[in-house]
Formats: sequence, structure tokens, C-alpha cells
Amino acid sequence: MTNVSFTTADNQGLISISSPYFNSDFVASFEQVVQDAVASDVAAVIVTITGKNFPAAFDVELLLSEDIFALSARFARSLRTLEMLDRPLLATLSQDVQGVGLEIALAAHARVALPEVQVGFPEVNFGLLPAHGAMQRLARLQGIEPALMYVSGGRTTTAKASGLCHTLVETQAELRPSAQALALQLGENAHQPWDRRAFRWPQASPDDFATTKMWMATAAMIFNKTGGHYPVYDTIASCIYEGTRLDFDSALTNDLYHWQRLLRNPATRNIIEMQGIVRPQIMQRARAKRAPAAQTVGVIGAGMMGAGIALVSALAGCRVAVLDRDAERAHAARRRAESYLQRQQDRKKMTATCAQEVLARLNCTTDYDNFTECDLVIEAVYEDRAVKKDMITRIEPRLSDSAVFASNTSTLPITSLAAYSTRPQNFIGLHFFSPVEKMQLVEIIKGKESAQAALDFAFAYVAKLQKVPILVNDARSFYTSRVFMTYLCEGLALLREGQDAVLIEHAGRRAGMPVAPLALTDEISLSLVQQIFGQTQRDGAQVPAPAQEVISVMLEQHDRSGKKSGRGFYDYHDKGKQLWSGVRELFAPAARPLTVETMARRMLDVQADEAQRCLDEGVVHSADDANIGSVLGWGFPLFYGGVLQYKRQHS
Amino acid sequence: MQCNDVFIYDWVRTPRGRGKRTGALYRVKPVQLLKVLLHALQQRNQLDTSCIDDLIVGCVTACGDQGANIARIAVLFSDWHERVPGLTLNRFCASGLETCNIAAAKIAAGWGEAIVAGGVESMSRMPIAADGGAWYIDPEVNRKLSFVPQGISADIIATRTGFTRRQLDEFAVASHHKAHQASEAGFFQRSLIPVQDDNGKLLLDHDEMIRPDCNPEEMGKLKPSFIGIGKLGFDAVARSRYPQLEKILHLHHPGNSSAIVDGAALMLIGNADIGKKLGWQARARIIGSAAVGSEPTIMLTGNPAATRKALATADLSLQDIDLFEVNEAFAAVSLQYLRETEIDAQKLNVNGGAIAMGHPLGATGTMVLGTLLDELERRDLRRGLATFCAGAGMATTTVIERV
Repeated sequence: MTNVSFTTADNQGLISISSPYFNSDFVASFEQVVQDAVASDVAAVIVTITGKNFPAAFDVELLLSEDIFALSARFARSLRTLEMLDRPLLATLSQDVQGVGLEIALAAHARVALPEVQVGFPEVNFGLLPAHGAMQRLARLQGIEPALMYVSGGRTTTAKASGLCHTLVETQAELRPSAQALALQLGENAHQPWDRRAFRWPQASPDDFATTKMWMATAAMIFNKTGGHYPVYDTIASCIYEGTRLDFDSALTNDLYHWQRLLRNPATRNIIEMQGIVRPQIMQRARAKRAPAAQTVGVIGAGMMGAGIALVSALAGCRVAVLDRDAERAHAARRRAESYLQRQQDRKKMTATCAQEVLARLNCTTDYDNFTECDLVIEAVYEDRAVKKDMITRIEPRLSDSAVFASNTSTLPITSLAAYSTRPQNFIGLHFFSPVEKMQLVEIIKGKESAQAALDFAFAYVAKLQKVPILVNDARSFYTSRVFMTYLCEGLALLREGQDAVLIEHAGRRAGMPVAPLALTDEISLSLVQQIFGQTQRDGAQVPAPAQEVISVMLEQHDRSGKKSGRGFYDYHDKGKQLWSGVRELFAPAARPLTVETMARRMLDVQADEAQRCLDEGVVHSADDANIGSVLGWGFPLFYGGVLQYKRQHS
Repeated sequence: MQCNDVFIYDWVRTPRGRGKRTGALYRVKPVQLLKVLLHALQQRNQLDTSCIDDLIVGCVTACGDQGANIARIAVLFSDWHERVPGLTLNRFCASGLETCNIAAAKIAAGWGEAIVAGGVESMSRMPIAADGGAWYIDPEVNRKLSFVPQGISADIIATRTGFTRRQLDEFAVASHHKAHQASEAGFFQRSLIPVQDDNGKLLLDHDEMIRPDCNPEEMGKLKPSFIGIGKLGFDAVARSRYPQLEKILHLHHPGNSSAIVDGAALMLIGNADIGKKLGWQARARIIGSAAVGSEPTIMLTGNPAATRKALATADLSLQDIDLFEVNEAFAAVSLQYLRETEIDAQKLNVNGGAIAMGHPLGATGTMVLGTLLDELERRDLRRGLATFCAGAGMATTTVIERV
């Protein structure tokens, strides 16, 4: 619960705010303490902020309602009143302070912090921004460009690195005395720089030519990064550009105008819903499963996927045994973990001790007996039925009765693999994505006989990895691969229709997809796509004829198999890639060339329709699962809120 | 309404100085550049300045030294009669041509008898965008308009049309050679007013940027100017408007783009009556003009449309024009004009252009129109057309005919 209080002692006021949770109660109590502080006759006021940070500090339902605007205006006004207290106002930062907490701290005339406290505005990662004056304060404290970079970057830094704190002290006990000393120093001069007559802009002023040159390129740089799809970045730029050309109070009002516009933007709402509602709910449900989370995990195969699964399991605190044919192969998992942990340490995201603990949990082995302790075994060997069968039959007898066996297959039906198991009720699929440490989704595949207990166990395990689990029924290609392929096939179909390849690729990006369809096909390799088509047909399912034709023409008539061979839809060379000149001559140009917008629409619609079929057929169990799976699984645009949300809003 | 004939009686310009601190005109205030020309025009025509109805001055970066309506200030500073008002006008690069058209339109309408039109730009003192402007610096506007710097626009034109770097460079070299020959032969002398300071010290009497010794091989070594900013994001913006381009080829560089310079020009424009009354010799009629808007990201492709529209106002066709002046903003602009209008390249910019001599934004239009008139007279030809593309997707054209 939020706790906001104002107390006085020794002619000093203390505002303490713990767990700021932005809702109407919080704003009301904040207003009250500000009033109390203003009314009191203390010589100085110290603000302490502890607990809960963004995004946990935001009432998401409130963000999506119209009530937010009035509350934000009240909060901004209150902060402004506090800042104009006329007596020294200090903030002490003893714990990580982000979002709203940091907004409060920036209203103080000076800040004292422990050097390693994490500060920042992560709002931008949720499509939001600090709307209550922080952008204006930052611009006037640190400069226009630094403010733009800081808020748009969304990164948190240590208090020391942030440059926002006047004094850094080593211990908690020094915070108050140090703040008191600063208060004395400030004395009569207890005003914000921007409220002083002699205010000078740090670095360049809004009218400096250097600032002009920066703004000239800002919109283009944002567009380059976002493709115009994420309005928050443009909004931050507008707030800072416009605000730095206004007096401070008008700038605050202007920020609130932009805040309202931003929150009414469908892209923002989709992002908030996905990040603030759908995702937390899914995680909460996974954590609520009454199942023990795996303690000891066995991973078969130390390739890309196996080593990745081993690493994330060890990071999550599981003891891990990774097995491969020989010691050398098995050891690959350790090397992979070492290089990852080193990178984390280099970036100061992990201590050496912690890294050592992770490594100590990782046991690379060739001995099947090392699996006897495991409560979960995940096989990540070749997509070869015989090899998988061999593994299942070898390992199962060594496991306890309750241990769960999972296959990381992305193509073979789980039920068919479960047939090799003596306990198919404990046999499931766990479909990780590559690179495992980065990709946040895991499809939990339910075979015909998979028991609820095994599935619950998998949910708890995936939640323990801090990854997002969705339950998927055992159908061909499961969910993500199946829908994702339709995007690729639609790109190929457009090419078959004689649409211009450059425009097709542009349309893929215009649609908001991370990789354009032909480039993506090259990445996957045309040969693999052909194999997948072949398997799909052998399984008795349909393959879109135009896509199939394009692939076979490329492979059989032109020997162009994709990026690996340097020859696909693109030619690959040291400096990058360029569309192959022959790509335009593959098929007769379309009589009716389509616009980029039409093609982009088709690429999205085809995914939406397929995802809808998956939901209708029970392959996925909810629109939420389908949506988050699309965003985290194959990069369906977050600003659409996922594939079915797109369908709901655009069809 | 009956329109009056509009005549050009005289025109003068300063030489163009390098638009940097090292340029010969850097120390000369823009209001002083105008003063030099206002005095010259006054002396050459024994002007009673009180008979001038207006001074209209093109100026693009109208702030600082060039701010606060420099036209009116120049009138007063130059001791012209206080009855002469002043108007400063900004049609970006076409400003100096537009001032002549506005003056002509007023006179044609009978709302004035004699107007001095021209332009001034001291780019060494006031760099492009020094005046800010929503288009450039307001992120919301900048994004909405898909702003890219003009150099990127020129590169889009080159990429779309397939002009090679060599073609662009050869065009640029030819501009220098033509300008050099014309300068050496004294073709510019009649209208060129050397700039002296008030102590009588000569600061510049020739166009400072012409390079007679340049050649395509040397020019081919210059590094393209817009690769860096293209990567920064402007290529992505350009491609969002021109998605059929897989990439933007960056082919323009300082050598095949208009030079950044300082300079000013003024033209005396009036009706027939005042010429007769004061004994001025009419040299040409302004017989047509137009301004158009065009797609703002590629920005520089409006010339052909403005040309057609202006020719229509004069009831003429391309075949009726003896000499063309297309402002050499970038080599690709000129080459694209040639391609689209299919005019004879021999009739285009016969004495070079802004690539060789420079483009003092607000003034170049008047300079080019005046140079065109001088050349029509020298060759004893009849009609000329000057056209300028301009920022944010615009173009202005003027058609003149000797009397």
C-alpha cells in the first residue's frame, strides 16, 4: 500500500513516500502532504522515496481511462507547488527510484543518494513517458539533448552515472545529515534554477544553432528506429522541443496535452494492455499453478537450443545437467554460459560471485546417470524421430516417477513422441525460441495424454525462468510456427503475383514486422522452407501453391538457397545485402501493381486469419495467449497489441 | 482588368563571395550589400528614389542581421527616400525570382509604377536554418512533412532517374567552365557592382567560387556529402516516401551542388509610362510567371510544372524560348529538367550557374533573371525563361521577352 506522510522534527519537515502507486488515493494524499508542508513553518523539507517502482507503480486500468488526465494534472500541479516551497527541498534516494518516484525527486532542489541506487524513466518501454514535469526539469537541469536521450532511452542507471544527484554518500545513515547540510547551503536560494531570474540553459539553449541542428535530425532518427509505429518517441521529442520554448508552467501544461494525446493513441493503448494487463495476468496465472517449480533440470543436447535452455535454467536457480554425445560437445554449454555471464558482468548487470554460482549449477556430462535426480528433462536433440526415441527410452527408466519429460521439438507432434514413453501422462512439449536467453516466450505443448499436473509443473518452471508460457495443443507446427509461416508465404505469394520485390520488402517493414518476408526467407534458407513444405504435405496439410512455386523456381532453376550460401532473394556481400537483380525477372510483372499499404495489410491479415483459426480449432486457448505469443514468438507488432487484437481492430 | 506591360529597365548584382568566414564578403553586413546596390542603381539611373513605389527583397534566413524586414531597413540605411516602403519575402530558393514576379504583378495591375525587386543573402553570417522554423526543428511538423535536407532530396532524384555520379560531375564541371569563360569574356561586367567598403577599399569584384581548372576526374574524388545524415535516418524517411527505391544512392557533394555564398541583386521594374517620363530604356518585358507546389520530400522537382504553368500565362510553348536558366541547386535538378522537358541542352544555363558561382538563397533568382536578360541581348535573342525549385516542394518561373 502506498504510504505518504508528512512529519516535522527539529524545524525540519519530512515527506516520506513508500511504494508510490499512481492512483487517485495516492494523488490525494500527495496533495495533502504538499499542503501540510507549505503550511508548516519548518526551515527545510526532505523527501524520501522508497519501494515499488515503475511499472508496478502504475494503475494500468487508470492509464486506460479518461480519469488519468485530471489526476495527472493535479499531480503535476502539486509537484510544482512543492517545488516552489520557498524553503530548501531535498530528496534522499536510498533505494531504486524510477518513474513517478524519480519525478518527485526531480522536483526537489537537490538530491542525495547512495551511489549504486538505480534511477531512470523506464516508461518509454511501455509506450509511456514521465508526464508530470520530469522532461522539462531534466532539460533545464542537464540540457535539451541529454534530456531527450535520457527519457527516450528508457534505461536506468546508477545515481552516480545519472549525474542527477548533488551529493553521493556511502551509507544510509549519511543520507539525512547530508541532506540537512545541503539545505543549509541552499539557504535563501531555495529555488529551482528555472525559477531564478538568472537561469541559464545547461549546454545549448533552445535558440542555439547546435540545438536547431539537433532538432532537424531528431524526427528522422526516431523514424529510423520506430518506422513511425511507436508514438511515444515522437511525443517525448515534441514535449521537450515545445516545452523548452515555453515558460516552465506552460511547458507543464503542454506536457499534459501531449500525455492525453499519447494515451488516446491506439498504439499506446495496445502496448499498455499487452504489457500492463495481458502479460502480468499470464505470469500471475502461471505462478499460481499449484506445482513445485523444477529444482533439477536435465537437458539433452548441448547445441544452440540445449545450451540456451541449460543457461536460462541455471540462471533461474535450477541445478542443471547438460548431456551430449562426448565431453567436448557437452562442454559447449559451459562455454556458452561463460561468455554470456562475462558479458553480463562487463555490463555490470551481474556480480562475479553470482556468475560463479550460476556456473556451479551447470554440470556438463556424457553420463545418463546424472539425470536420475532430475524432476524435469528437456530434450533438444536433432529433429530426428529415431534419435529422440533413443533418448526417451534411455533416460526415462532413470527418472523418478513424477519427473516430467519435455521435448523441444518445433515440428514433430508431441503425441507421436509420447508413444515412445512409458508414462505419456508426464510427456509434454516445451518449445523454446532462439536465442533462448533473449526470447521470452515458451510454448507448452499438450500431448493427447499429457496430464494436468505435468502441464502445471511446466507452467511453474517457465514462470521461474521469468519467461511467458502459453499452452498450445498438439497440432501441426503448433501455434507460432504455423501462423508465422503464413507471413512468409504471403510475401512469396506477392512475388509470384508479380509485385515488385522492393515494395514487398518495404511493405513487410511498413506492416511493422521485424524482418521483411523475402529477407526472412533467406535467413531461414529456402532449402529449409522447402523441407518444411514437404513435411507439411506429407502430413496431409495444404501448402500455399504460389509460395511453393517461388521456392522451387528459386532453388531448382536459379540455385539460390538463401543467406548461408550468399545467394537468395538477396545477394550477400561484406558490405551487406542487395536484392538479387534476377528477382524482378522471375515472374511477369503484375497487371495491377499493389500499393505498399495494400501489401502490408495482406501480410498482417493473413496472420490474423490463421491465428483466428488456431483459436477456433483450440490450438491456442485464449486471445490473450494468441496475442502475446504473436508478439513474443515471431515479432508481430506490439503496437497492434498482438495478432488477434489487430484482427479485432482492423477487420 | 486591363494589364499594363511590365518592363525591366536595369539590374545590378554584387559578385558572389565564398559563404564562409574566409569569404571576401563575410565582413560586409547584408544591409550593406543592399546599400551598395541601391546606390549603384540610383547613380546609374539618376533616380529620384521617391518615385519608387516599393523595395521587395528576397531573403530566406531572415533573422539576425537579415531580420526585421531588411528591405525597409536598407531603404532607410541607404538614404533612399523614406516614402519607399520595403517588403521582405521568402519563397526559399526562389525568393529572388518571386520578388520580381510580385513586383511585375503589382505593376501589371496598376498598383505601382516602379518597383525595385531583388534579394540578399549572407550565408556566411546566417547559415541555412539559423531562423529555425517549424519545418526544420519542430519534431511533429518535421515528421508529418517527412522532412529531409535538400541534399538528400537531390540524391533521391538522382537515384530515381539513374543519373550516374560521372554525369552529375560532368554537368558541374561544365558549369564552372561556362562561368569562367563568360566571366573572362566580360559578359557579367555590365551588371556586376564591385563591393567596396566605405573607405573605398575593394573587397570583391568577381565571383569568388568559379574554378576554371576543375575537371571530372578531380571532382570524382570528392566524398559524397549526405551518406552520414542519410544513415542517421533521412534515408529511411526518404524511402518511406519513395518505397520503390531499395536504397538512396548518395551522389551529391560540394562540387556538384550549388555553392554557399554571399551576395545581393536588385532589378528596376516598371511600367511604360514611368520609363518614358524618366527617360529609362526598357530592356525586356516580363510576360509570364507562375509558382507551384510539389511533393515536399523530393522537394526539387517542381520546375517543369512551374515552367508549363508560366508558359501558359504567356501563351507560349517551350519551343518559343531561346534561352533557359534552371537554378543549379544540385546537378540532378538540372539534368532532370533536361530529361523531362526535352529542351536543347545548348540553351540551358549558357553562362554556368549556381554550382560554379554560388547560390545566395534570397538573391539568386534576381541574379539569374538579370544574367539571362544580359545574355539574350548579347546574343540578340528574344525570349528567356528562368526557373527555380525551392524548399518544401515549390518552384517559381519567370518568362521574359526583349523589347
